[in-house]
Amino acid sequence: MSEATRTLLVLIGINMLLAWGAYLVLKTGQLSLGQAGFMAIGGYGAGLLMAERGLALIPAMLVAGTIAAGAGALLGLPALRLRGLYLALLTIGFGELVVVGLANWEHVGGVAGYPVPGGTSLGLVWGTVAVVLVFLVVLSRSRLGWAMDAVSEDDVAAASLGVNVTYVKVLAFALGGFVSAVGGALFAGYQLFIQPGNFDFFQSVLIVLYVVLGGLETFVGAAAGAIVLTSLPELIRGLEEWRFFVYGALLVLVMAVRPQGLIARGTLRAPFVVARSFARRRRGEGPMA
Amino acid sequence: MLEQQVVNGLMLGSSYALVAVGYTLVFGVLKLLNLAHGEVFMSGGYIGFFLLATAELPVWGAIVGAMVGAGLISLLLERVSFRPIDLTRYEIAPVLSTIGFALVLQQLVVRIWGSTPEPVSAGIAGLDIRVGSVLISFVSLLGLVIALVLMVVLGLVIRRTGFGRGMRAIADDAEVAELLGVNTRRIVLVTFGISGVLAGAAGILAALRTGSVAPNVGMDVGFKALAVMVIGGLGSFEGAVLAGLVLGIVEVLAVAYGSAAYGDAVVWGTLLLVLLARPSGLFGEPAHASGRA
Repeated sequence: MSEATRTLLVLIGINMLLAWGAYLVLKTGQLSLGQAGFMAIGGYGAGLLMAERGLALIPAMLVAGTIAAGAGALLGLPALRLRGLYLALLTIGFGELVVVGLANWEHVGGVAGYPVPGGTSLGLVWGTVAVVLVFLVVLSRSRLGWAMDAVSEDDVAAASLGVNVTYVKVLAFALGGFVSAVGGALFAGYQLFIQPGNFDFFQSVLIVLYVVLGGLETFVGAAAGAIVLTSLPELIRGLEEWRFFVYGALLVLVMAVRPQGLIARGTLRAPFVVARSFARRRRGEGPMA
Repeated sequence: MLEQQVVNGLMLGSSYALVAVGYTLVFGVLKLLNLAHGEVFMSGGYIGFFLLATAELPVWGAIVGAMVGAGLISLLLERVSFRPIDLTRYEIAPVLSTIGFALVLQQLVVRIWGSTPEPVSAGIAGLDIRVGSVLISFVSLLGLVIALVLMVVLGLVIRRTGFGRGMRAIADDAEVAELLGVNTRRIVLVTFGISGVLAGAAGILAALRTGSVAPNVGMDVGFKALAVMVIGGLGSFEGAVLAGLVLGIVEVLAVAYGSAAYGDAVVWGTLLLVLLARPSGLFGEPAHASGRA
């Protein structure tokens, strides 16, 4: 495997984790424009734990993830009274506050940046992706997963059916915070040097872009968005300069014609449904026969 | 010294106020969050720069041109980011679409003029005005006066005209307003147009005051104005103006007597506190914000 391919695969894996972090929050119908804040907690947290407490990357990543989950739960709490656009504004504020805080924190180098001990390997990244993937598959078939979907559809109706909306929303933020922070820790362990600028609003937008272009309704869509948007600029030379212009135009276009993203819940089932109805027709059991 | 800082703060604050008023109109009246508004502001600066430097128009021509141009961009934004989307079904999609629109505008400017700042000069020099110990450049004073006039005119339009009444009716309840014969479509368009015109004016005036324009000003000022809107009270016109002027003064004082970065921390900290403790903002009516979110 060439060095370039290896780098690309590492970045794809990390971006898939980041996309899933945002997806977990979006699964309850809440838009977080501050996921890079959790990523920063993961990156700086793991960096500090490794450099000053002598932890290895994996435990450091898990501890930083837990801290970010706590921060996520705290940020999710106001979701009880703030909804929709107000919540989006709150998450922007959170993300900016994290960046400003880090820029003012001399201990981690302020704006100049912070060197992080390494430890991110291709195997670790994709091992983590596999673990989170299994979790997402289990979640999508669990009562909690259905509750999250119900809250996303209509939280008042969900509450009337006995779903604990508060718990589900706060948990979504905590889980999303954890996964984003793990992605951030792996990012830091790979980059070896991080700056507050790595985790600004633009990064949050990029993360949401993966989810939204792929599809807001399934974790497959989020992963597909991360894979395509990470590899596209590498595959098409010359796109690098126009990359963000194309992303922006794509975002406007996709939202206008398909606000649920390219891959929706029904999209995944569609090929199976078509195949099944073909099979049925061939056996002469179809409604037409 | 202090007087000078306060005056400088007012100049900066008038930019924030003009941009924040645009956010407020769109959010308060239409319940829409337009995250491309900061880039409309930036576009105003670049249109003005183009008209001054390349088309060699006089200052007033550049200011009017920037206002018209930014107004048209804002109308285009409404056309591509809001109108195609079923707003009753999708709340998040239009916000994301405006982020896409912002990326497009910013990248266009970077591709055309590069990412480094461009110098902007009004071609008027030596007209500085001294009042006591306070020194004001003519361009800054012009900017402040234009900003104040625009805000007063807009305030009168909202309070005194039939159009303003329609706007307030839609802010209250869009469905009922439409049933009662308010031309919602027209008012939505005009609201976007006004918000763009104000952002364009703020953009060129800020470029003239600071003597330069750069692609990142949209994000910087746009975000601070967003915080100003929230702090002033979502949907409160007076709140946005007041909070914008206050933020300008606070920021200039923070830079003069402390650190610029702490100024930012104060802005975002206040935003979080306001959203948590009083989501309707410091000047908004509580009943307004709690209803729909």
